[in-house]
Amino acid sequence: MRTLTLIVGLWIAGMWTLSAQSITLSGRVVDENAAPLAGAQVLLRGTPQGALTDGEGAFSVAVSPPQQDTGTLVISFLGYESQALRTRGRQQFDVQLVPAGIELEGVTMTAIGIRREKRRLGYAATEVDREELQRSNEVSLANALNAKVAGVQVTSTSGSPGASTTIRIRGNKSINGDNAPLFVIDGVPVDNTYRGSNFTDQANRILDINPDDIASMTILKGGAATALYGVRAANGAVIITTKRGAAGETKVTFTTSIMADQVNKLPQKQTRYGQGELGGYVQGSRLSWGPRLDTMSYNGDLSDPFHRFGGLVSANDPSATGQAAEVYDQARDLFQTGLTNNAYLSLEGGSEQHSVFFSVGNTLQRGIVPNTRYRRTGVKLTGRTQVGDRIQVMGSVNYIQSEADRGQRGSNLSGVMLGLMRSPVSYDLTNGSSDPVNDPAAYEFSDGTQRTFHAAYDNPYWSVNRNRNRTNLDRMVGLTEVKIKLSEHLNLLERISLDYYSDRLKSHWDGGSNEYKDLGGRIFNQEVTQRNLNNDLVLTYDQRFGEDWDLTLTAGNQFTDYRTTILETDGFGFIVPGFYDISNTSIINAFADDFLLRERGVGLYGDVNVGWRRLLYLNLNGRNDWLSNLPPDNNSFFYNSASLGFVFTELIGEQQVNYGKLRLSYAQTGNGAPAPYLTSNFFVQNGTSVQGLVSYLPNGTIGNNQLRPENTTTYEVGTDLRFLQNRLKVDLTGYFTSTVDQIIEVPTTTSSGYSTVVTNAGEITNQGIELLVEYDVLRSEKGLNWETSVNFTRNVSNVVALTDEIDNISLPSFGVASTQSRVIVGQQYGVIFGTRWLRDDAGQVIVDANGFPIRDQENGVVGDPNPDFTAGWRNTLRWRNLSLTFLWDVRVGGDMYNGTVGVMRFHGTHISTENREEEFVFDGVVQGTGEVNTTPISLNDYYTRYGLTFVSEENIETVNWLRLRDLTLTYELPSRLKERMPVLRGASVSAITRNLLLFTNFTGIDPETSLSGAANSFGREYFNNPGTRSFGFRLNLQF
Amino acid sequence: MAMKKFAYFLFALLLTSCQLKEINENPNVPTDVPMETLLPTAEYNFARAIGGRTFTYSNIFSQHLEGTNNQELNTENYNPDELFVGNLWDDYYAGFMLNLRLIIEKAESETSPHYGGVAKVLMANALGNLTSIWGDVPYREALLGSENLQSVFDPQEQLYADIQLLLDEAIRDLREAKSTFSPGADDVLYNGDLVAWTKAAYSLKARYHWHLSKRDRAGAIVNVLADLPMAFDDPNDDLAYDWLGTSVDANPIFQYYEITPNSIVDPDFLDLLDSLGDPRRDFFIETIPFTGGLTKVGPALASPDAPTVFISFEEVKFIEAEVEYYLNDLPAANAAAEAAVRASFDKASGGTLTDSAITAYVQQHAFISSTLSPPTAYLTQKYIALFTQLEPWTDYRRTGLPALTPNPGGSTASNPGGAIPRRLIYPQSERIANPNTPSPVPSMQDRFWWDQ
Repeated sequence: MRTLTLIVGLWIAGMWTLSAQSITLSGRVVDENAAPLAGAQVLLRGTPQGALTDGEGAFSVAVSPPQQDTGTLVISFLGYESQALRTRGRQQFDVQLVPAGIELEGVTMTAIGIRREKRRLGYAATEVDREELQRSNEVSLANALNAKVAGVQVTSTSGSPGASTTIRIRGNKSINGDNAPLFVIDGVPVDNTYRGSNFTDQANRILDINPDDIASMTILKGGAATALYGVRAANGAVIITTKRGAAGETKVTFTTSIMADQVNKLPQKQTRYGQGELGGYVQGSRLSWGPRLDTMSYNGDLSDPFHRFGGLVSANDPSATGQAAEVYDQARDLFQTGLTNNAYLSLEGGSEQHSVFFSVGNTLQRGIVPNTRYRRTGVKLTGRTQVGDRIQVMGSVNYIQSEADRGQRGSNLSGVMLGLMRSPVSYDLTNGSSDPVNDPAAYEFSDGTQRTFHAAYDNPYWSVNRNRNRTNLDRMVGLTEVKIKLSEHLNLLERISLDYYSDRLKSHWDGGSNEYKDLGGRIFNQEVTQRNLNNDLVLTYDQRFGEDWDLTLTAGNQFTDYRTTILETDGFGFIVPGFYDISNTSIINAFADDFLLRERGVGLYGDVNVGWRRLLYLNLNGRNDWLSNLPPDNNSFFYNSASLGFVFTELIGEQQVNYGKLRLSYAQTGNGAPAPYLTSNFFVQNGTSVQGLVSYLPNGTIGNNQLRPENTTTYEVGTDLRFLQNRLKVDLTGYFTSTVDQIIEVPTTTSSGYSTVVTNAGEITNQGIELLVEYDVLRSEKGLNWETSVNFTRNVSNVVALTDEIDNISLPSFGVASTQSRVIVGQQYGVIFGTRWLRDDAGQVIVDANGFPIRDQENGVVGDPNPDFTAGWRNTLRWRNLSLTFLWDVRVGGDMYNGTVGVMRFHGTHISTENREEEFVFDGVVQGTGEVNTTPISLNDYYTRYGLTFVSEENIETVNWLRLRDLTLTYELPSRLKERMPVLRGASVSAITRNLLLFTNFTGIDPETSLSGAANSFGREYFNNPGTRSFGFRLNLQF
Repeated sequence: MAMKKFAYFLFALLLTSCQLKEINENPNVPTDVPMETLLPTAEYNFARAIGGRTFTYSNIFSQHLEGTNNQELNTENYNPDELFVGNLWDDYYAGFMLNLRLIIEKAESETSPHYGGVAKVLMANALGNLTSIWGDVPYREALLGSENLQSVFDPQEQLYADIQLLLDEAIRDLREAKSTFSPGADDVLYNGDLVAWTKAAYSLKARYHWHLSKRDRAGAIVNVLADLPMAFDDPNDDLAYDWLGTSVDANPIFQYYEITPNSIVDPDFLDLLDSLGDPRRDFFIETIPFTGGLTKVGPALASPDAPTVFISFEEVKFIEAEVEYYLNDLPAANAAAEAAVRASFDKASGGTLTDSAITAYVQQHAFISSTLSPPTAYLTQKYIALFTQLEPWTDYRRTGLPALTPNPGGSTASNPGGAIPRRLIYPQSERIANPNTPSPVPSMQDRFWWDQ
């Protein structure tokens, strides 16, 4: 604590003068457990008067009589949220502080809700303060972490409302399991399941959590940090504490914001050539290899159902009307400005015995794609009461209701981007309508059939109207917690929590929509009910032994019971057109099914934390888990971890380094199967019921009753250093993890009759460096303050081994079969595997006698989507009541499959096909002769020769970006103005931008996207919906 | 007091661990199912395999189709993608052959030879298709699940012997008087008609015996002559899946055109029909609107309820014509060819073509007047009549008839020289995971056992 005290001392020394007046305000400051807080600062706002609390938490401050009437006492303590109290003539002030965003070397949240001084930790734990989370005004908590934490990689699927977001801490470890971290809110592990894209941007469930409710967040990255959470935290944990009521005055906070969202980047289309083939106009052709549009006119045949000016003819044609052929900017017409509106009201207050927090938040988002939207409404109530001296009871309930309307995307003939990007520029998708979204004449003929440029692709205006995907979710997260002080040193905590939600999906494609045209349309209804029950019983023993030793012992039991029910009905063939209901289909229940998925786990754990002379801290823990999803003989397993914190500045004293700590840790983390029921074989119904008969076939996966638990070993070394009177802070961490015995479904030879087999196999390692540098460049009470911080992440994964037979496994990577995400021995996790050119031994592409490169018969690795490194650079400038903060986000390296552009080339719509009359010579050697190729080929032949998705290798781009992730300018109401207002406690107004600037070499949409959503496949783009840039304002009022 | 309660609570929580095993029992799916639920799946998925990728690959190679996009374009360029080739392989092995193996096993243990007979006929047909496409393929060690994940690739010679063995066993099983369970409505091909199945078994025997005529014509003739009397003798005998014509039970070629048609009808095939003035052109071929005259497979073969043929009366009659031709009995050969062509005309047109028109056509184009010239007319007629089926590609490899022009520019790493492929490359899944896969992977010009 010496360092802390010193810093606090330094900060207030300059203003520490005693006033001569005679009234004394006194009181006591306690922490959230009502234990006295020694060394808390009590300051009369706007004056140098103040005091520090003593060992009993007591303070006294001398003030003048007017100050006693109108002053404000500000009570602050590191690691706690500051409180401001109006004096209003009172003399006695009892204050309870609640934990808050984290300061330098304060107290931090560790596993199972254990709060520890940061200096005691032998592993990396990064805090993200509330302000940092809320700066960019993201709807999604996951997106709010983007580029802010070293070692954490965040990828949003698209800029669509309610889309999913992938979060990875220290890379991907698991092949079939979830690689996302565990989210723990107030001690409750909350569900973050992603259930596939369903051709739209579906959410992962962390989206339900309102970032406005968060008080603080800690990211636990390594195995030693998360060991006590057991199997679910094998990929790290995000520990969130939400706001609580505090003793003191009632506080009301109101925040509202509005943001406008625009498409930030699109692939560029050529504008020179129209619909057709081989240079000629072909009505209804999907290709844009037609005539030069500046030579074309219309024939005026208004009976042409496709074109309102008639078919395209040469300007010299006798039937030409003389009207020059139009070139349409279809993207400009289609995308609209999205709007995000957020309102949040919270109320908190309490006394030493009781406190309460209540909030209500509402977020309404209208997407850039017409008819897409997302709404989330949440209500949260948290209460705490002290029962007698020894018992504290806390309860919290959070109810969330959300609705979304999502647009079609990806590899889907009804996809909005698919139709838009493939459409020839000579085709007017709007049919001349000024409001094509709401005017059926744009996309529909009078007979009700679809008006589109090519019979197999939907007109985007048709798609946004006739193919809808709606979800509606109700979620309740509740917990009760009892803390009992059994003795001075022994505490007991019992917490039971329930996370329950019901998510209803109703998705349809019209009978005239291409994706399900052959079946007369489709409606798919799904209701998912998730119920996660969690119970923790934790016993803690705390004791100091003499001056030198302190000891904390923790023993606990965790019980989890997860149940998922999924009810699905699937209907095909609408009878009455335009009425999208399951009762209106000719084939109902083609897939009607109900699923019950159950998993249960019991864990027992112990933890020993020993400190010696504030110099050395040793932490040892062990945990045994029993899991239902493993075979009975192998379902119990033990793992342990050890970590050491060595505060070497205690030994050598403060010299150049004000504070220095070395961290070392080692951990084992076990894990169960990625899903239940993998231990046995069974039969499943055929995808289509055969003529109404019950029709079964064996499930394609061979179950395994010999499965063992997975295991991850982590080694971590790091250091925390402070220089320049603690103004420069450097945290450096290196780690190595090795995950073995993964439970994976590996593809098997289908000649066995099955496609996959469940097995324990493989070894995947991840190693990396995380660096955080924070520097207070300028510090001045009245003048300019400048804080800057840089975080840097580099993670390298390596697939060391898979099974004896297999060194190449496909990750579920739907959408583009030619180009998949794979796990391949000797490569990083998730490399892109697809079609490529045939090469000679020297790596030269082999070209045929006509000058065309030859496609290799065998597919291979064509790209690695893992970035070389990522970094974030935050700058915050404050001058009086103005603050400006901005975050640069850097990504260097890592490949992306740009499937959209590849397909656009085939169609002749991409800008790269604009100079198509030019010929070029492909760089390669001629087959047979080995001579350098000199035969020119035309772009038309080259791009159309290899099929729709072209050759994967040609669509791989190495992605670098520099983006201004957020930039926010905030004006805070000056305190002198606030004091004149009777009710207002604080006010601020911010101008916010997000993704204002994006510099990237990527030629498609914003490369922060993923075709597979928040799944394990990443780095593929195939008609994904684009990303956004946003601008807006936020108003914050406190009463 | 409180401590004691919590101790009980802790104890109760630990007790629940005893239920972990029960919780992991899958309540959603059965662990065993009766034969009557396995048979329809097998027949349906087999029909989809035939009308699906078997159709596209073989008909591009036999120059009935021209691939224009995606995999079909790659196949057209004789440069198929080994990944997608795996889909065709999976259609058989993972799609329905395991069902057939399970039915054969269950039929044994449940003394239900009638089910066993049906499953064996279909298994023989599946193996015949597989070996016609790839040559050596797994069978004896295949379909065993975790018992053997690395099946040996059986030599083609042995496969043909096993096919005949399966068919002989099937014929015996189908004739058993007693069968605990017998297929009925669950048999969506023949509705449990065991006599029809027996005819189909003999017809398949003739087909697979005749495949070997390139190696040993005399032996093949003897075998086929023994098969033919028991084979199909009526145009309505076909082993075929009659699609309901509903959206989920529609002819796979119809569905292919509904989703992403990546091919057109090969202009050479159109020229052939035109040069013969073949009236079936109107039923076999359809012009796609708004495409400047591009064509697709017509309603007789691609309407929602057009049947998918496993083996037809026509095919049997064409085999008979060839056999009689080699026995120098031209009247019998021409009579068989006429029966085949008449059946083809009737089925194509739904009986709307006049008898005189058919007769004129048959005399002009289906008859052979001298055994000194090759049996081109029969094989050309078979090539037309069996449009969309696998056999014409096999016939071409067997006889070189009718003469086909390979696609230009088809000389690729997997098809050196660029001639019409003699087989398909092996799929990626086996190449990667099964060390028994022939290595180096044979090219599409490597001829298998009977095609030497």
